Amino acid sequence: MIIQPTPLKVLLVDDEAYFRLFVGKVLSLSVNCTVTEARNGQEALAHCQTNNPDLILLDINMPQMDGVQALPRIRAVKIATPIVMLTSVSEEAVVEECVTLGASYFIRKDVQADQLKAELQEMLRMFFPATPETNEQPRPPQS
Amino acid sequence: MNNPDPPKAKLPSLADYLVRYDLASLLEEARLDYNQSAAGGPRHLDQKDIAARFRDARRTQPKAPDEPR
Repeated sequence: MIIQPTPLKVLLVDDEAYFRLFVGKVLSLSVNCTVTEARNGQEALAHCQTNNPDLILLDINMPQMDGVQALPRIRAVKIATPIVMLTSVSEEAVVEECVTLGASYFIRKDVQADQLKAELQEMLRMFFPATPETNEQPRPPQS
Repeated sequence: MNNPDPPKAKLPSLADYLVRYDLASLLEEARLDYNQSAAGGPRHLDQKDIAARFRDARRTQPKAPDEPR
């Protein structure tokens, strides 16, 4: 588990409730965080206008406003926040578009649960590496 | 003087009219001809390729504000 001094504020944007549940569990077991959920790009954008998430996980195929539409709008509001696309879309053109629109990273979610968990944890290490001091395990009391 | 009859050409059998295909090599050719990009479909990237794209993008762009902490 990556130890953060203050809980990371994660915004998880996906229209599938069971997937939000799974990712939320993986995140909370991997890092000290609070997870806020949004069901589409519109809700995500509204959240970003009044809140300050540390990390945004953004699906692509969603009703009302999809992830590719939402990405530049969220990026315009949150210039410095890592925005990670978390999607089953894997077409090269879409990946390139997300790079251009300012996505920080891209994770395929149409994989085995174990692999997805590993990718999410790798992404957390990439954007929020724990400092050696905070990552130390508490020492047992000396007798 | 009797000329001996020229040797008769062997009559073709049904087997001579059969075209034999090497199915294994045909299958291999088809596999090479009809891959994803040759068929005109979109190319899909696996996670390793996607990660490489983002690594390259980070290298070529000026330092972004969302660089890993």
